[in-house]
Amino acid sequence: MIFYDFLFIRFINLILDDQIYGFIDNILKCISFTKNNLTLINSCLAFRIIIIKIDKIIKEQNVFNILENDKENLIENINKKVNWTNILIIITKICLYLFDHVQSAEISLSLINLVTNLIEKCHFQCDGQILDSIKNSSLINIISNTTDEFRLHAFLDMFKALLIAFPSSDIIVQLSLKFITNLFRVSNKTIILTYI
Amino acid sequence: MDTYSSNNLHWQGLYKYTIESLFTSFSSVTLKCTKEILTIFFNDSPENNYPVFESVIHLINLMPILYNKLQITNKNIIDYTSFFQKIEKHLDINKPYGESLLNSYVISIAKWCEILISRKSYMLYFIFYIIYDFL
Repeated sequence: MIFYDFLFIRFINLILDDQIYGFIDNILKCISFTKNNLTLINSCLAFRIIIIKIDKIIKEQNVFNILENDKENLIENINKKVNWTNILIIITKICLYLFDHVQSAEISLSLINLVTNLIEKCHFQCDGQILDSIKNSSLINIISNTTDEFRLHAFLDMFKALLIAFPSSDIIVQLSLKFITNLFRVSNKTIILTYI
Repeated sequence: MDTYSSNNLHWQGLYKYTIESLFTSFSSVTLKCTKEILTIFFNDSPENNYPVFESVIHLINLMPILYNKLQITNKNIIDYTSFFQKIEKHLDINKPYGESLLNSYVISIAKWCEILISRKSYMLYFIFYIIYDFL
């Protein structure tokens, strides 16, 4: 059994064999080729799983020190080979489009969390193009039409991440004010106060 | 969005649970059948019969779930590289099945990442290379 594990693992590790970067590129290509909302949703969800899995390996405490030492190389390698800025801009555009079309609460939550994760992960590489995408989107209208609290919480997390990532941006301050004003109309004040 | 929330999920779920119960109850026979089906997949083209091709992709995508549930062992898992290469070879948005295959491809990546990017695989990879270097 162990022997098989070792044999298997020779071709199983996606990160160390660099195949993951090929998959990330292919998903981005799929997004640009497809006109189908279902494929767009599945592409975003695939990205979410990849990011969650990579973060889990990086953040988890390992028993073996060798892995701890190699984590830095792994993080460096990932940041070098993956163009997070490009991913953030493309995924944000797609998610902003999908927010308007997806009715399932579970999928919406996953998409909002994906954008939040990406903002937290790569804002330092981003030159603020994402803010223009948000400004030109109908995000505020979508939020004003949202009534369920789970989605509102997720949107609040997203704005929190944006404020931390771009504290000096005029756009984000304006958007946040609009966002909170809209939120007062649709939600109870306690949710907002916990975040302020 | 209808397709995602109703029919598609319903049939995929039914398919998944049927295969899982087959693997649990009749593992050796099911594995034998799976190997036969995989031979068809690797030798056939989606142009001949796309619904069958897509069903085999669904079957292959169940392998990571079955592996995580310890219902199949490593030796029964297919070489994922060949599997993805096979799909990538036929990815063409202009073909009638192009959009559907693109969707299946993206779903396959998500399903396989469950075991391919995991702490277990990461640790075993290192242990394997330490032993390999030592020998």
